Amino acid sequence: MQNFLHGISVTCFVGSYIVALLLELSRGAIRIPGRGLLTIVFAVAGLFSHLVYLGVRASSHISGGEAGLFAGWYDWSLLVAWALAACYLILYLRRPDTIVGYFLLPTVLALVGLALLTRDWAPFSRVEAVGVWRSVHALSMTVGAAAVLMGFIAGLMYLIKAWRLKAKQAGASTLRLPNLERLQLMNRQSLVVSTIAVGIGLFSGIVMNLNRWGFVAWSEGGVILSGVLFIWLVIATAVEFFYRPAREGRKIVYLTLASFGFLVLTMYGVLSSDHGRSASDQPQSLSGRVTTGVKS
Amino acid sequence: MVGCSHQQAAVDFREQLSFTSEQARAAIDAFRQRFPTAEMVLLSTCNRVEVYTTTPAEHPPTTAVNRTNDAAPSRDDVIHFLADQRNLSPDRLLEALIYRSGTEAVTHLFTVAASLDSMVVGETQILAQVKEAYDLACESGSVGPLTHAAFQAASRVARRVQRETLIHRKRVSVPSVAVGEIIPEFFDSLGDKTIVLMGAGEMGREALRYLIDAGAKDVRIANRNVDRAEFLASEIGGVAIVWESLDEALVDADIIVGTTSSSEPIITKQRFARVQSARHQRVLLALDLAVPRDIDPSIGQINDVYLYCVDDLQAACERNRQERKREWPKAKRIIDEETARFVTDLQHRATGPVIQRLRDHAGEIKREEWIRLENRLKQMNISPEARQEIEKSLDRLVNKLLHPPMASLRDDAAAGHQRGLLEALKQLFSLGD
Repeated sequence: MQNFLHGISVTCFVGSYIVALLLELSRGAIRIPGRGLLTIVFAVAGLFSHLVYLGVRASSHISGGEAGLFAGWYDWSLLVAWALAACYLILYLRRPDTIVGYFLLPTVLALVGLALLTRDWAPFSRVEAVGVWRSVHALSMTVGAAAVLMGFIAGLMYLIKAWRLKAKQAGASTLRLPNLERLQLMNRQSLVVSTIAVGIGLFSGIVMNLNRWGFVAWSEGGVILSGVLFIWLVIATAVEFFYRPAREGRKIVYLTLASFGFLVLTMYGVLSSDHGRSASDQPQSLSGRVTTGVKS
Repeated sequence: MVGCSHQQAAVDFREQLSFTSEQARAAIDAFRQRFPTAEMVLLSTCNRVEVYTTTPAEHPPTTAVNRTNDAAPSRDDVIHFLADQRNLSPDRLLEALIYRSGTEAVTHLFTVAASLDSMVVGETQILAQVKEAYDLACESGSVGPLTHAAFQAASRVARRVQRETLIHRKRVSVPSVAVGEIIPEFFDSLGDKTIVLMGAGEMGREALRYLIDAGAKDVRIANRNVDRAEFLASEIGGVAIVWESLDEALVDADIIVGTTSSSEPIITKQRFARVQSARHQRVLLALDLAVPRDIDPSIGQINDVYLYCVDDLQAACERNRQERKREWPKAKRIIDEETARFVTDLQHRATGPVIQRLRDHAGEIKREEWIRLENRLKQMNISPEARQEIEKSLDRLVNKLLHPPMASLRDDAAAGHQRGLLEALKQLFSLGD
């Protein structure tokens, strides 16, 4: 199995993406039975092999060396390409009748091309990589938390608005709130933004720790609760995306309100542990571990 | 102005008297053939039919006995003309139509254009209709200096009333409040919403018009008599659906509007329960504008269903009506002020030619006298400097003599010619018409 996974190369996922693109392009020209399913299969195959390729590459980095993990143009281009390919698959699943693939898949292939062009460039060192991924981690977690908060506020406003409208208070000119549709949209958008941002934050945190220490402190409260928050957000977004009733009315509001609960838990986990504190503010034992980890 | 509105005449009479755009064009042509020197604008809407005519001063209205082709139309002439056009009895029109002239006619036009005389005070459609009537008259060549001035001023006055008062901003009819104030509390736009309109009567028509004006694209009109629904859809917009497919439409609906005259609720709780699961708990706004109700009130208790009936909307209408009432005196003041200004301008313009003729007349007399005197002065060997001085003296004399009557004339014009000095001057100095 390991040999099989190690055998996955750039050609595998590029090939899958090219087939998916060709299937998309043939829409107007040839009638292919089951084209939609085939497109999804090849897109999933591409994403899977792409992910395995990145994973194998990461595991080989962790074992040692001065070069940072995901610390060069080659890796960054492949990561962005994977993210775009994932976006394509989600958008295609939601609206198979649209031609988003015409725009997204060529971009994915162009990014893989950029990765191949920069393949021989030396990656940044672990110390430099820690700096980059720390910034990404901090920024995306901040955006994620802000989006969850925004969703919570929009949810509260929705419930107040809905209560007022039920009480036949529509049209009152004082203390107006945005309309229900706008508040519902704000809820949905904040849920999607928070899921993506927390996902990027979690991933960048893992990469940062691997670069820093060579391992991730999975048992730490902040990490566990961030993971729980992310899992909840993924579930909530998936429910919102694939279960239609959850998209409408109060359901989406309840999802965002629950997300806020998870955020509070996560914040508690983060603030009550050493997670997120600067090295000078951390206990001596951990600071020592950081230095050792980077040097090892 | 000769005409009638919802204030004086019932809808069936207004329908008989009203003109379509084509009929109005033909009527204006016929009017011009009959009264070539008269100006005319014909305003015909569902709530009023009014003929505005003016005549040049040299062609005053005459009686039917001594009528000439150039004579201006009198009130009876206009009534007979309307009777001919719409095949109605002149006697009936004589009883039903109102007549306004001079300042009253101007005030009336301004009041109409500013929507203070409308059935729904403050509705903005009337200004567009007044402009359309004026444009049609312009195209037909039946407007002249006075109608140009009056109708252009009417647009300006209406805009000023809109700008300076809140009278147009408050909706007072149930459908307008439903569409203009309730729907925006739920949805950003109507362009991507499915609306099911039940009923194709008067209330349905009004609601549909507001919905289409608000940007609704997908309006499905369900009526027991599908022909009426189709007629309404072809006239205003939307798509007619058969009554039996109402349940399917309810599944897709974001908004339902009830306007039928059914004595029993059309959408009962049981009926709605059948479609509820297929709706995926989408928000539904139910506007029940019908009396008796079309929608079972218990549906309003369902989560994500928001039911508003006539009573709920009447409160908003009444609130707006009160706010409009508060604005009424302000709007009326603007109308009165603008009417006074318009009439003063008009009267100043009317005195101009008389003053000019008076000046010309006096100048002519002075010139004749001067020619005679100048010959005598030459024979008497009076120096050119002295002759020049005498001529200047004559000019001063004429000016001093004319100044008081002209100043009085201007004052009288500003006061609306109450003392009749314009006519007196014409008579006294034989200035003609």
